[in-house]
Amino acid sequence: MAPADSDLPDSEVDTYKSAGGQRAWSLSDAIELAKKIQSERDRDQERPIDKSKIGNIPTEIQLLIFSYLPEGNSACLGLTCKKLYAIHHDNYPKTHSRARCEDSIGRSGHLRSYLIGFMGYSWCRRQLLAHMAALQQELIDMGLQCSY
Amino acid sequence: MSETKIQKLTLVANDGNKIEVDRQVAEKSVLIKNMLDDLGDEQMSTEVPIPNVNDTVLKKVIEWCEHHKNDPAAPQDDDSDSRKKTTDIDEWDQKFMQVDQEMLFEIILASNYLDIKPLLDVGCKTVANMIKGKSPEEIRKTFNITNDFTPEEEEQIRRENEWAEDR
Repeated sequence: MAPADSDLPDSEVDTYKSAGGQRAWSLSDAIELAKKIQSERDRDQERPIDKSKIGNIPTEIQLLIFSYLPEGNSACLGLTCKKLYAIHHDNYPKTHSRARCEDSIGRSGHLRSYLIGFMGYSWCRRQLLAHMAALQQELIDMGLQCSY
Repeated sequence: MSETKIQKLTLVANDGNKIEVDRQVAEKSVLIKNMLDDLGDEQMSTEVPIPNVNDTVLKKVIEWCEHHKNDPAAPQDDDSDSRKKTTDIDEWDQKFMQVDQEMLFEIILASNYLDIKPLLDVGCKTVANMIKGKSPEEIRKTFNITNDFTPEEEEQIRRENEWAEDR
């Protein structure tokens, strides 16, 4: 007995279809599949709970902490968890990756250099290449040769 | 009226421990100051229960109040959204705040409850300084924050801020 298509995860539907719908389903297959679907549903439902101090102190104190951060650092704090993101997003509905970030000794930088973990390697590589291309163009405009 | 002005107060922490302090020191707490003003010295018991703060934290907070007892009162709420707030902290306060993170947040919560604005500010500045220069992942590690975004939500944030298209 084959389960209805709608109950199957997409990958399973594909396997089933590629077998021309001919695959014989054993009871253990069905149980296995039911377990898999259930565990996927569980995973969707249980959101990890943040128990950190900073995430659970009263909102007015969190707001005060945010008020001491430039926009870029505010974004970094916001990107740690949902509750803190809501506060950041309230203060800055749209943050540019060039937003000002400060390091621990007060030097300024751009948010983009802190987004590496969040945006993934290929995004960072593109950023860097675009940056280098812009630099190269600038040098050419100045009448200088440059290659890398 | 003011002949019987109370000079010393006994603060009682939530674990029952009593700490005697000068009135001037205790009045760094706006909560206690207002209580004294409202009740008047005659009706004021000299024992003040502080039910939200334990002994260790209360002692630490009082230490701060002792040191700052002669500071001029803070200028009238000028924090009306002056965005470019500095996180500079004076040297004594920096040393004072060299405590473990648990204690740091306890001090922040206690100063919020007792309404000691300058101490609350120092605490929040200390936390802000711990955040500066760190990526989201490093901040999570520092404060033990659990990442509760789903991949879809992360994707939405990238779009919301147009980071993906940034050149």
